[in-house]
Amino acid sequence: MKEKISPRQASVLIFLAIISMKFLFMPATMTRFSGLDIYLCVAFGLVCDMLTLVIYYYCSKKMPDATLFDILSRVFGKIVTKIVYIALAFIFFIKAVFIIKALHLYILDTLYETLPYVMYTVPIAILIFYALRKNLVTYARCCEIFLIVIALAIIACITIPIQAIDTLNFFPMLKDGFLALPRGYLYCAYGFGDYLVLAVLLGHIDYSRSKGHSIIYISIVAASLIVAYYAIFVGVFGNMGVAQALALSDLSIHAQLPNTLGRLDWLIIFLWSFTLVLECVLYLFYCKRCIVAATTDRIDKYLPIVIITLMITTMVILYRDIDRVLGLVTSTAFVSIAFSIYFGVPALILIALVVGKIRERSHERKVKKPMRA
Amino acid sequence: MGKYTEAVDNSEFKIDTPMVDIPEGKIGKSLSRNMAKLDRAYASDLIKKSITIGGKDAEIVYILGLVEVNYISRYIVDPLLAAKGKVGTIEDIKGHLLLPEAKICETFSDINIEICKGKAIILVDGMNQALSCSVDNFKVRSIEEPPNSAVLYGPRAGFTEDIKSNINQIRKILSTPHLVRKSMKIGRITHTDVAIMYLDNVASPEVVRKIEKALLEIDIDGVIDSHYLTQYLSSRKYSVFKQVGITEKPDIAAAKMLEGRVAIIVDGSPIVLTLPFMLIEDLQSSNDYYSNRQRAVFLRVLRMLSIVITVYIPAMYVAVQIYHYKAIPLKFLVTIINATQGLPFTPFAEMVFTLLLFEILYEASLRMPSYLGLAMSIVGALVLGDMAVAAGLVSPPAVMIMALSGITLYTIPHQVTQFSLLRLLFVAVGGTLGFYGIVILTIYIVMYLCDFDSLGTPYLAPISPMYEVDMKDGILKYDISKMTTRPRAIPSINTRRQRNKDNKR
Repeated sequence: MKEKISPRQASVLIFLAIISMKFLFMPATMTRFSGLDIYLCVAFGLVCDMLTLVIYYYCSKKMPDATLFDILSRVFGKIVTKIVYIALAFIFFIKAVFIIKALHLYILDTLYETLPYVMYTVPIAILIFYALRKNLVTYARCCEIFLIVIALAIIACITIPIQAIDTLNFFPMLKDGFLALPRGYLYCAYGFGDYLVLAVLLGHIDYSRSKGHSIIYISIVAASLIVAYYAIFVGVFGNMGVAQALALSDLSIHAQLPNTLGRLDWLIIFLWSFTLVLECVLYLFYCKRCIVAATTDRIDKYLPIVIITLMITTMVILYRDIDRVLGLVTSTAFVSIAFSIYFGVPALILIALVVGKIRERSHERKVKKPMRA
Repeated sequence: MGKYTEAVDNSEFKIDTPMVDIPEGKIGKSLSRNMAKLDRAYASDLIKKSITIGGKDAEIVYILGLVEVNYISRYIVDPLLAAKGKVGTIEDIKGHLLLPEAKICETFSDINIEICKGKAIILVDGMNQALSCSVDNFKVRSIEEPPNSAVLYGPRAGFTEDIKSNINQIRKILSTPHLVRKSMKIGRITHTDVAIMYLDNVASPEVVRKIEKALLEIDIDGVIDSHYLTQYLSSRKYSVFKQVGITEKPDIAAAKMLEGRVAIIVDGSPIVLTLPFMLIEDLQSSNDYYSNRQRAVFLRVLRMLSIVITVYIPAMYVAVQIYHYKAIPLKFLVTIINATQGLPFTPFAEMVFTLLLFEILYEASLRMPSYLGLAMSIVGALVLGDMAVAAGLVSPPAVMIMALSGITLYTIPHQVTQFSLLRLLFVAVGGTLGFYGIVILTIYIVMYLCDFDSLGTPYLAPISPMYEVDMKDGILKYDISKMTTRPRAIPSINTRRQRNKDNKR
């Protein structure tokens, strides 16, 4: 029996995917390419991403029981479908690597003076190994619970630094021209493509009790929160934003409010640690699902779990320097691959839907003809 | 017309008592042989009364002390002596008795069980069946308010150790023919009576079937208390988390049955089990339903907060002292530094020491005679705590945190075991890995809890998965008039509880 989650749970998973990569390193990286217009740039990127949401959402409503494998393999065959799954697994894995590295740097910067590498790697590897054994329903439920924590984290990091905003930092708008927006979007490709999660969730959303509009609403809410966060980042740091790699901790430390109310920055740090660990585990879970789908369940169920756990641990050990990971995800090769997957998968789905429809009609015609005769 | 004599077997007690020859097999037609078999098994305990019923020799046998002798004369002997007409079968004899409950036994195994349960057995010459008459005289505790489920307002009756009384207490509340009771005996030696009770027009038949199956599969020598069954009814046998609901009060049991749950009552236990179970059940108290709605919501939130304080505060304190002292405001940091100066223990060891001290005090206070209770609390709380601080073994903040955590733990009395263990685990992780470890462990535990169901009911429902309808009686508590449906999380064949505003069912 297929694992089914409610549209509300799917919305929570999408919400997590949208906010996952955009809060830590991306504001600083984006400032490098888009200057002070990063909030416009991120809005541009989110709108582009939403185009893919439309396709996924339409497909998921139209064929609520069809998985990505069912949709693609019917038209393109199993080999192409498996390649798509491997590509998805790759993207999810890279995203997880980035988050796990970002988390390491984040907690080192904020929580610890020193934290031996083993003490960071072993607990998270154990958690990953445990979590990867769970099913989609468990993840959905888990994220539903943590949504409160994550919402608190976002609200805190948007409201707390509000006093430190300098409105002059917003002007002049579009100083580097409109092209700065797609430029920032392109080079920060690693932070977008959030709706790929929906590709994995296709066929697993149960619309029998709800229409599923929450998926659209939550996407808009998440997008608005992100734009607000980026605007606050610009407002607080202005041109200095390039140097604020760890936007979250830097924002909370620079804010006036924590100093008067107490150490609220620690609250943000604590809440965000939950968010980041959960997001990392989630991406690896999607990665595992894609590997399992690509191998059409022929391998032992523990094999992908062991492989992913070992790979992520190796990556964490090998790529100790976050700049190396940042260099990897902002490289032209990665950007090209990422965008071809972000837009290629929904395009393939669209083609499969159209071809499927045409085949269906021609089949109907064939069936009807002898009846007329 | 019959004659009636009494004989008590006074065989001497032997030191080297051989293994008892338990009679087995079918009951024979010869009274003397049947009696000889019972004599060998029960020897000195057995009381025999000879009687003639309709011209046939018969024996009434029972164990002294387990039966009410007056009942035997009044409801068995007198009616049988006065019996006129045909007494050809055991059914005829049963018809003459004035007892509400009499059971026909076919084998000696049945007789063995019945006789030990305080029944009087009638054996008649020429009949290969016996009659078990319910004349037991077990002294039962009167119905009192259970100590762990006291309420300010609302019913105070609690369950007792007598299964009949417990069943009747539930029947009194749920007076409907839809209340079903299924009985069984569990335990090869104890043959404990176990009853499953549910409302057949509410509870899911699938849930009932699963519970029945689980209970019937139990093959154990004895069931002394209902807690013996919880292990068999849990989907995760080795889990530290509670998976079966317990209650000591019939009003709670009835309310849970109205929501679609099944109650399991065990003879000899004042604790009734309820299934399916959700974690949030323990955050609710019967007081919530008998008091102001807003107050109930406030208390529920407070109980949730208590869990967080219980589990996290000691761990956070240790983590902050070891790794994250920057998180503490400067003035408070100075206070902590002053308080912890010169302590022989690390913050982690100090907290573990205080925790263990608390657990020892708790355990000792449970076992200690009640007259020592006051002295114990003085020695434990005041002398030990104060002296430990004065002796420089622990710091005042650690004692304060432990006390806070200890008090908050008891706001949810049914979850004490789980959360006290979790607290220790979190302290260990907080001490070794700091906040990062606490975060990882929290996600691990939440994921673990999200993963299991209790007979089709998600353990963390109605929070996860979120059932909006069930939230009316989840963390929030709506007016009774607004709760028109039964909890969606619990499988049920009848979801509507009352007419809604539009007068629809």
